[in-house]
Amino acid sequence: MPTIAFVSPKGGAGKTTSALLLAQELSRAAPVTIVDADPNRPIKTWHDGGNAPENLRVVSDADEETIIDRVEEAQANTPFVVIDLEGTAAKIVLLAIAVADFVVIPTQGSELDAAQSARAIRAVRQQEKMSGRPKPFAVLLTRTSAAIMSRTMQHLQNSMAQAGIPMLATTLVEREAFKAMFSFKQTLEGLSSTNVSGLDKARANAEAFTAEIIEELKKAKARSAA
Amino acid sequence: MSDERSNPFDVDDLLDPKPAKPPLAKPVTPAPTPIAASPTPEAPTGEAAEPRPPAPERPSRAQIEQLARDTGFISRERPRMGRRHRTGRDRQLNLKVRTVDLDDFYAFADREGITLGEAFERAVSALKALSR
Repeated sequence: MPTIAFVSPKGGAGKTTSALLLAQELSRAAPVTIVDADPNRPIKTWHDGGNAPENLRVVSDADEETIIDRVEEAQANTPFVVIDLEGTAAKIVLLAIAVADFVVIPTQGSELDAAQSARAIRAVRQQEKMSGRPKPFAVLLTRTSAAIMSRTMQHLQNSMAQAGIPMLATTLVEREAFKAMFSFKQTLEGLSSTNVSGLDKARANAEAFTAEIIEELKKAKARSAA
Repeated sequence: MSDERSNPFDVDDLLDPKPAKPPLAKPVTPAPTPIAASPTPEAPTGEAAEPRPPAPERPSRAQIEQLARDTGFISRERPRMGRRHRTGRDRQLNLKVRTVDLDDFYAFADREGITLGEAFERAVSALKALSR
């Protein structure tokens, strides 16, 4: 019953977008709960639009006090749980990491963002130390350019690789469709190509990202069973 | 518009070995463990004696609190106890008082970290004790 938390102490890194994409895609395979623990409740707002798939439900009353209970309830009800968090270094983030099976750290390709990701990574590793169990995680580069890989991005990727930080091979490309999901309160599926360009590529991107997360979850499961 | 795409993902390995539940249909009993990788679905053959990490454990709340303090992941929520909580204090008392007494009263409450209502209660019981 995998639980995936999206963590980044910096706002605008793409947490909510990537969390929603993953949840939507996963919901094609099995029921998913998103625990929207961002006090701005962006996923709830999206969900209130009424276009969410049947397999996707949203829990939006999680706070520091209740997040562990909410996640455990969700784990009991749906095979997948996705946790979206606020973009700050808040205590609730640590609680979410504690209950997650896999942590995704979305980051944009800049040093500023990378520095904040490093904070998230430290938080994950400290919990590993505390519990004596591996807490698998990976950095997800977001809002990348479809056309070119910038030098900063390349530099970032290299330094993360050198530091032994796991990175997803898929990046989330900056796409109109990902924004349109929120503007039109629609699923990627439900958006119309008459309104939004590049929809096919966006869908393929979301699918590749989800497939990679599923692979990571399987690897993590195999490791901990070994 | 929404051309239903078929499900491209194979997640069977990640689901519980039970038959798939109908999506969100009825209340389900909690799974035995909330952690995905249940430690022993079956005893693995071969190196079974290999010492394994203890059962799925997560840091305790106290440990998380400590970690939060150490790493600056601070609480963004207002403390639960504000000036309004269930106390049974539901009557209004509007008084004209001297500035000096008012200041003392607030200062006392702030120093003690209590609400004005509680400060008033303490004052009343202190007065009662005095007159006994």
